[in-house]
Amino acid sequence: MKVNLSQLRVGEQGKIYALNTDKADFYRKLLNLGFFPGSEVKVIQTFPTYLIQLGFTQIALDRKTCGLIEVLVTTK
Amino acid sequence: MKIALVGSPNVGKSVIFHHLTGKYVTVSNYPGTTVEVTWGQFKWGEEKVEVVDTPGIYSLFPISGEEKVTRDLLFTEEPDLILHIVDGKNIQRMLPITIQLLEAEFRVILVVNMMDEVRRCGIQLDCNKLSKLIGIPVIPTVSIKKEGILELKRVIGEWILGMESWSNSKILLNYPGEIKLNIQRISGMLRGKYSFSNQSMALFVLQQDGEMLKVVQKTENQRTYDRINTILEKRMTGDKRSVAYAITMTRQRKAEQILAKCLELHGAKNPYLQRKLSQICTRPLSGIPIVLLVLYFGIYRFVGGFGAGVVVDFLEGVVFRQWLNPLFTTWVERLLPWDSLQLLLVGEYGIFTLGLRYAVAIILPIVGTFFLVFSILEDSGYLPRLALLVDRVLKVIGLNGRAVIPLVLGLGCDTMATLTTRILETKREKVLTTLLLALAIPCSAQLGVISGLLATVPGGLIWWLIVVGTVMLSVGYLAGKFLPGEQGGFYMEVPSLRWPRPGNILSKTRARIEWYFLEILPIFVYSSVLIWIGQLTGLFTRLLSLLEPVVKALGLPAETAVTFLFGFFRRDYGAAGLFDIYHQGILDDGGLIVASITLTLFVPCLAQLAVMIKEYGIKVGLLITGFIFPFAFGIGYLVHLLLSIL
Repeated sequence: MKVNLSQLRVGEQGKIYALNTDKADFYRKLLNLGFFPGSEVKVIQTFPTYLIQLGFTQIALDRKTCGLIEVLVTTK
Repeated sequence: MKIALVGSPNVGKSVIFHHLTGKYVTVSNYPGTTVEVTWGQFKWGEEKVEVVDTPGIYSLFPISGEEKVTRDLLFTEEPDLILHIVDGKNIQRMLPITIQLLEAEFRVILVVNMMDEVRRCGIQLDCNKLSKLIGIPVIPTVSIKKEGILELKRVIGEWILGMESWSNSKILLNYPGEIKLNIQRISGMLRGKYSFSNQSMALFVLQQDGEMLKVVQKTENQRTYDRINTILEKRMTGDKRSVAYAITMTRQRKAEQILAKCLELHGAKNPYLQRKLSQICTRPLSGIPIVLLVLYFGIYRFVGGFGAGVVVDFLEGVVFRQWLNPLFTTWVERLLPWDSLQLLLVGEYGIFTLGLRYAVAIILPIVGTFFLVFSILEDSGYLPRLALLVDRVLKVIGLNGRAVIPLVLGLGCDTMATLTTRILETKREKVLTTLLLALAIPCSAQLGVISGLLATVPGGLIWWLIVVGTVMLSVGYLAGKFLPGEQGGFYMEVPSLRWPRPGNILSKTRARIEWYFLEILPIFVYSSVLIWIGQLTGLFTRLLSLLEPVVKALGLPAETAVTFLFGFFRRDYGAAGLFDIYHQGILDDGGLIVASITLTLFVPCLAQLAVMIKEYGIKVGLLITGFIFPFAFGIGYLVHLLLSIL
């Protein structure tokens, strides 16, 4: 199932499918942060800001940014 | 001989820089604290080796201001050797930068730092094997514990002595068809000499890197440049995004292929305790009380109570007033029997009796205690968690969580903080933060003095908090509405929590205090001299008489005009002046509230104005100041009216 990262709940996991932004610089930034298709992510927290586990780091993202990241839900 | 330290934010570049050169730059557990390059040097045998520390990068293709600083440095300085420092836990994400550096044909040593955390997370990384795979030296280190530094120095030394024969690593990257073809075409056309390899230049050009395109246009002849443009327009089917994607992913996959042969992740996980602690700081229910505790104990009790209270009372009240000032005054009066010279040195605004006393006895204890607290917060990794918590609040004023670092640092020194606005991404965020720093964020000296004085007035602190807070929120909100540009999204790496190491904290606090002291002391001395000249020529009194009606309109005694004039030289100087005036007993409770509020909002000091102009140009600097000046007095007047009605 494909959803936006902002639709995942705490503890749910996904595999990044696409980054939906037209802004080349922002797109590049997300790629460089490690959000490229195929990366596995897990939602640690959603309020007040999203906290995403990505490999061995955690990255804080706001809801808007999470809404641009499309993931395949992989939670069992 | 030049060595550059390069790496992503928060991987320990500055600590390694310190181990190599003995110099300290502000090291922290917060992405983006090195906003400028720092030079240092060491000697290896007879050879003098220059070392430069650079701001963190996520890629050689710069997006934020500090990334640009780093790439410009690599491009113009052409270092003989690069130490690429990575966080071992996240080597998968960072190895692509090594690949980019090798593509640019730099000589690179890969330093895999934070090996202790790597082991604790259960990651097995075979550095020897990695070294063979990529063909460059790979040195494992734990920089904060000095592990591996000797080995690193040995390898650098071998290289300097020419014992190590460097063959450029030949990592073959298989870019997708169209890109590969165009890389070959473009790199074949380039005739100029660049610090980066032709392949690497071609990659920047293909990604339409504005700056590199300009460099190419300047270096190559018009025909070549036109041909390159034709390729960009006609021979590339994808948009900027898809080109960036293809290039990034090719490097990423290459990195993964390499690491698949030397990295094992069996059951790797972040340690439990660290995870729990981190959660406590980031969940609002436990996080907000923690913020309040940090503010109360760290700032109010320690900086305000201990620094601005106990230490200042001792240094100012006892050391200077009772011992040093009388002693010095007697000496000067005996040795220099000229009135005007006495006035300059030990008069009411004398270099010694006022300048030095303000700097050493009032400002230093406050700023010192603040920097100590700030260093602990920084090194522990708490600040990114704070950024995450307050992101939503900052969005109201047109900013986002990233602005936490300059804003909190501003509570120490607004000038230093204005410099760090570079870590913000858009011009809009930078200017907005600069405005709020200039207007509503008191520096530690102001905060210390003001909170100390206002604590004696019933309701004083509340008034001050409400007025300054409202001003900050409403000005931020309105400016956020009117400034052009879109509100940037918030994203920030949250590094693992670490126990701050006392040694690091102390040297870092010392480095900051030194920076600060060297910055303010001359200004304090000049101010005394300027005031002295003003006094001799009568200009000072005239300026004061201009300010006096303004001050009187706020219901303040005429003497406070001096304080405001001081405040313009240095914020903290003004705060120190307020302290003096209050102790003369000529300020009533209402006056103290009005003066504190106006002084907090009142113009950025000279140093801050200078930095504003340096970073954002004379127009922005003057606009901000021109807005603040009448605005601060206007608010002061309103508060005065309100207080007299109540």
